[in-house]
Amino acid sequence: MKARLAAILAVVLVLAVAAAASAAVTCPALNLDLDKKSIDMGMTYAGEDIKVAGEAPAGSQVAVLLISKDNPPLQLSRKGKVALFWMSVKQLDACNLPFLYQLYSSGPLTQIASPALVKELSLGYPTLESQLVAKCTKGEATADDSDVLFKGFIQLKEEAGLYGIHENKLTVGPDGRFEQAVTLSDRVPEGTYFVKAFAFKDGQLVASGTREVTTQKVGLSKWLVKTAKDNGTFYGLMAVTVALGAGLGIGAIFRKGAAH
Amino acid sequence: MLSVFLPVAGVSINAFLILGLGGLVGFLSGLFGVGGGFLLTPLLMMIGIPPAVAAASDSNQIVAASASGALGHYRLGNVDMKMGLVILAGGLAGGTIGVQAVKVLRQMGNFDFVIKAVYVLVLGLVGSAMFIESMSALRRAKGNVVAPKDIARTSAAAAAPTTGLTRFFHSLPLQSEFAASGLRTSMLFPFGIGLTVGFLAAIMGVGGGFIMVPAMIYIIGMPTVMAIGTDLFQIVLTSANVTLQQAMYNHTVDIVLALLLLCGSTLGAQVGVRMTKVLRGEQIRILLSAIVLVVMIKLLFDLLTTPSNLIGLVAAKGGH
Repeated sequence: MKARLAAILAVVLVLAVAAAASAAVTCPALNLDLDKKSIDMGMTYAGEDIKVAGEAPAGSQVAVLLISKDNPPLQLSRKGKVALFWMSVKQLDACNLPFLYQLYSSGPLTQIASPALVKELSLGYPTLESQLVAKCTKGEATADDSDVLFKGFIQLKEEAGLYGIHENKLTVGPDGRFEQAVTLSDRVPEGTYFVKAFAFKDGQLVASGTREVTTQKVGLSKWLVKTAKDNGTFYGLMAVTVALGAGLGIGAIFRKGAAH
Repeated sequence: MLSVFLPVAGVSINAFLILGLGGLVGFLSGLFGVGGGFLLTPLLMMIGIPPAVAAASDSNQIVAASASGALGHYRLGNVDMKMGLVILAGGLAGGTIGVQAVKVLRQMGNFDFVIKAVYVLVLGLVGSAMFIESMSALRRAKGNVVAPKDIARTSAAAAAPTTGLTRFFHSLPLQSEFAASGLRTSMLFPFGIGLTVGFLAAIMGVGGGFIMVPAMIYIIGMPTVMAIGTDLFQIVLTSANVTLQQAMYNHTVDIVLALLLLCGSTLGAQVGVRMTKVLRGEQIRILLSAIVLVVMIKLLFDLLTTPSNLIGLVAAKGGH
């Protein structure tokens, strides 16, 4: 009898834990639409604005996050002073940070979501900093590596238009409808990117939705990248021939011009 | 604003900005006989081109700019083919030894410091020596004191005085006539210069035109415009080789970037070549020395002042 009771209690406990876990990651779906799901990177590609439209429960605060799916480590160097001179003194790999991170919200993150949710949903730079793993690949690791690396990393990414926190930029109507253009930088590689939207009420998550956007090179752009990778010798000879032709051709045009 | 997507670099850039940068570097190439990589690669990195792509595509555009400049100089009779081939042979040997030296230095650690210190030292010495010599040559010219041998050469040319090193090489075997330059010396002499500059160029990660031209003028004793034309001729071959190697092994040549750069640089090079007809040898040398000294001061400034960001992308070496 005791054994049967223990088994029932164990099953109830497992189900309770599973229900709690599921409650932490799922919530009512948020209606979310993107004006494009696939972006072609042709010769005139210069980045793209994606129009995100959604409908959150009335009275919600909303955050929209554009984030990369694949996030390989980034190799960086740290400068230090040796005698009088500043130079690269070590190399560090920045791991566990997204390649692209653009966040738009209808209010300050700390006010619209609870600290636990901000952390769980990876919202804001402090959360990213806590996720960073800095690996020293060359030189001697020091205690401040992570701190210096993160500040410098954010500066580099913001300058390249790959990172940004845009608090108070998103406007939500009284009926919960919102529309926001999110910028996909021209510096992103081919791949998959997520657009995530979160609706909060009283600091709690009340709805969320995720959509995917893919980018791919097309036409001449695709052929050049493929040839450069798969047939380097042909590509190199083509590059040299074109350069020689252009150099000598323009030289000849100048001679004709000078002769007249 | 006309933006163009650079497929290998993976960035979108204003086409006119690239054309302008190419034009500037082509002008310097035609005027001074330097590839301009020591200026262009950092400039491309500054506008957001990944370092490895900047260095490799820079080599590709140098093929065009130097071919255009070399053809212009060839027509003006400013290319000493024989001298160029001997220097090229020395440069290839020096470059090969230099690449091995780089490997050893990297294993020893702190290679960055060595490279930057060599840059500041070499640029400082070359720039200062050339500036001082050119200024005194200009003063002599203003006083109408012109050496007879200068008159015999092209109007833009100015020869350096015969040095002890020149006399030493005159006594060595393999003596040969370099008619175009009006010199008779041992083939070992230009080969040795090529070897030394090729070695230094490999250590510094550049083609070495800004060292080679002063070396041709001051050590070998070639007329200024002959040194410029001959250097451009050998740069065509070395940069074509680098482009091919980069495309085969690193896949970092962006042909669209190179095309835009070379459109600007080939036009700029022709303007530069024509400027050599307007400017005298010593005036060209003053301008080149000023540019070399400005780059040296910028490098020294960067070494001494606290950078705005202590973190940077890991850069690739290369270029010309």
